Amino acid sequence: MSFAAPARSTSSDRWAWRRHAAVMGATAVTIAKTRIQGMGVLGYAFTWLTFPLMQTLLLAFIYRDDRELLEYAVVAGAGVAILFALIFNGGEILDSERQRGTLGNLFLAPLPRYVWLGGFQLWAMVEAVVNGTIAVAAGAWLFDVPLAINAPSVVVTMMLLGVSLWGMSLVLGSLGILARNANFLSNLIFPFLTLFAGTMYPIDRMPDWIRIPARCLPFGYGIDALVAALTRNATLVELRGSLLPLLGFAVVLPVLGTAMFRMMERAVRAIGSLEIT
Amino acid sequence: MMAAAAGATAAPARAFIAAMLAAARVQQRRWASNVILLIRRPLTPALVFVSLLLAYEISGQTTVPADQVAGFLIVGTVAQQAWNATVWSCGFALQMDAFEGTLPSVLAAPANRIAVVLGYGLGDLLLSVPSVLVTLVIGLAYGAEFDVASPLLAALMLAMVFASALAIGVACSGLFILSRNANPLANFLQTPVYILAGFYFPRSVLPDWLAWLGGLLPITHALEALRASMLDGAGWADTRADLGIALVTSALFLLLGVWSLRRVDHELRRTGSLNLF
Repeated sequence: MSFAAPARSTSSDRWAWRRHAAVMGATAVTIAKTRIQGMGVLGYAFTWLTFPLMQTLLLAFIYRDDRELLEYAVVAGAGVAILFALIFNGGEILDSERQRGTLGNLFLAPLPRYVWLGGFQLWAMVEAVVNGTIAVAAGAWLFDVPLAINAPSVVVTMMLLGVSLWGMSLVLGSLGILARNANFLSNLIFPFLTLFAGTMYPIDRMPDWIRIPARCLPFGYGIDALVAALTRNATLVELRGSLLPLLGFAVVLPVLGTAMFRMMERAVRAIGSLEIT
Repeated sequence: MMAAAAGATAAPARAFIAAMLAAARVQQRRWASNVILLIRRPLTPALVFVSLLLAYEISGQTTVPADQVAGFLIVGTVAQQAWNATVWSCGFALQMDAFEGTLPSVLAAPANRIAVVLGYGLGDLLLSVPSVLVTLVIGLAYGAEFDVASPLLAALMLAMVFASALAIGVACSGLFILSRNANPLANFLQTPVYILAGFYFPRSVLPDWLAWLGGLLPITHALEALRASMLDGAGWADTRADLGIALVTSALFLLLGVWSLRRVDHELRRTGSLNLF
């Protein structure tokens, strides 16, 4: 193990963050290549780009006679894309590495865990943002939905939602390792999240049994803010009712995710195997 | 002499059925081996039904187009279960064997490939029975109303929905393999069929070209016949046309499946490699 020591960064190494950022970027690029080249560009587009679009279409046909709901559905398409990418990509990355037999090597890499984990999640975020943008653009074009965009509000909302969902995907990723199949877990959780996320309807118009649990999750706040920022030019001040709770989630969920990941890592070290359960 | 000839004809039929039933058992054990899959099976359609019902409620629609919303959605949710079961079991069957490392054994076995693929689909469809019942119970709890003139006809149309999904699944099985993009294709095909076949909204709201495209799918006509027999009190004469089209198009999809599986077999022998998968 002596060869690993010089590569390991120390707190006194003032340029460590640069190397970490470079590794994070390289990890994100590697994951992107693995996903796109593994499925082929067409296959990748079929799997990841079409789902949010189809969900938007499905809702748009249901809301065809209600302009307000139709506009909501189109913008919520971005929410579907973000949710889909973070759950089925971010939440499954760790288990994918385990199934490919490369997770052990990553644990042994002479780097802080959060560097390569950050790289994984960085690509999940990029994918979520790109898919969300495409879903909104296509929906707005197909259904002639006028967009009145407040850029700072969109950026802040996306950042807070992204960080919250990153934390949640760490939680799911750790649980996926425990369940030995993150995909099964994602498929189990996704319909629950859809019910409470506000990707199909505005949470405020739901009965209490949906609205109350939904307010304990970040999605509804994020999607409400996103709809207002994209269709009503809502400012940050106007969106404070949604953004402040979202900020809370953006703090709490990454802490919870990190704790879950550490717990999983301790279990791996204790039994000397990635097959924890 | 005649008895010997009849015996010779019966033997391959018996072998076909035996292989199909064995594959059905394998598929059921695959599911039964994972508790997440067992939990997910009835939960997902129930949650999808509730989400869509809420979407209809807030848009103020009580009928679709003349049927009560809950009843309309229940029938659509049943069709969705048939479709999801076959696209992932039948269509994805051989690819799943490739993932699990059992494909060489399946290909080397002296059994008809179509029997194996049909068996996987059948096993999955049988697993759908409890979830269909759960969906019906939840639908009734939400006030779904049915108008059944002939229970036998309704049962036949329900079987036709599953049979037509199975026919599409068999067609997909070989085509997915030949495309070398089984997973993306299975993911991609899921939601468009919801839209094209009118699982959750009437096909009359679709643009003409999309409605025409949906008309090529047997499940579209089987679903319309099921809706008529379960929700509108339709009799044999009212559903004859849809049933006829569903039967003819199912037969065409089955033929496509037979051709594509033979093509897979041919490619395997020609290349002498399983890299086709």
